[in-house]
Amino acid sequence: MQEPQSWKDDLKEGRLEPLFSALVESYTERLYWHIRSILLRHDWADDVLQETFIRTWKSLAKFRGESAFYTWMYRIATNEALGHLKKEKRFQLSEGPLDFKLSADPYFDGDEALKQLMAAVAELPDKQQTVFKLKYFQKMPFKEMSELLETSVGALKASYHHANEKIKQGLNLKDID
Amino acid sequence: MKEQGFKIPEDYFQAKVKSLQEIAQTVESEKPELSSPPKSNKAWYWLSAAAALILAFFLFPNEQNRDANISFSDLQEEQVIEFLNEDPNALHPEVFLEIPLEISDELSDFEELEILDESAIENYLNDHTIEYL
Repeated sequence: MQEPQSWKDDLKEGRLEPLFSALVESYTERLYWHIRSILLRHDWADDVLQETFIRTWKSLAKFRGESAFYTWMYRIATNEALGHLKKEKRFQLSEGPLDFKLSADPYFDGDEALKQLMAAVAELPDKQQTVFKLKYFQKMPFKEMSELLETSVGALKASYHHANEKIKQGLNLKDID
Repeated sequence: MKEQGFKIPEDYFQAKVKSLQEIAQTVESEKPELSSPPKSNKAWYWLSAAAALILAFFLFPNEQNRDANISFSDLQEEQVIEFLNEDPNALHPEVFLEIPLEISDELSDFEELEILDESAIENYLNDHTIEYL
């Protein structure tokens, strides 16, 4: 989506409130699904979406407009989501073995195969998990992922390959589509 | 994701957009950083700091440097005794060297000699040097 030039003008002129309002209108839904693809649970995605917009508003005046607003917000959302994932993982580890209960989310009614797949994904290291989810749910190209996660395309491909192998082993599958 | 069973509450986005819009009224935005003062002011600041350091160097010379310039003849006898008492290894360094048993026996033989004959030393070295090369 091509962002209107008026947004950059608003930023330059310091008209932050109407600019923020336009960003909320345009990107709430897209950012929500991006965050949910990393966190899977609705309640977590809802919290992180809120945090993403708070951070966006707080640093909007400092944003230099060198990239598109969406790219910048996408990065904020990704960092917030990964931070949240780490926090939840620490909590779950201190409470006992990592047990991702997707079934506990009332806003998920996927089939058993997807539940098993996501349980296997939850066992992967954070980075592999993220790469796998971005590829699986968003079909995100590695190049775009590379800019978002600030990691080389080669490293991302390797992470995805390892993630695929581990999941296939875990689920006794030949291929994951 | 929607097709794979990930759902959202009814009218979630309408309500969420409304609540997110309120952030601008409730949360304070961070102000952009003020531009730094002119470079000339900064230069004066650094120059005066450098001058103060140079001045301090000449007024208060380093204590360690002063000690390093003292020669052995400047020392009082008590100071030397005190130093040696503090560092007993300096008096008997051989105690702390690991000398193989057989060599240390041979060395003790030499100690018994009152006067060492040069040719005897040379012979000894010729016989034993190759072993330690």
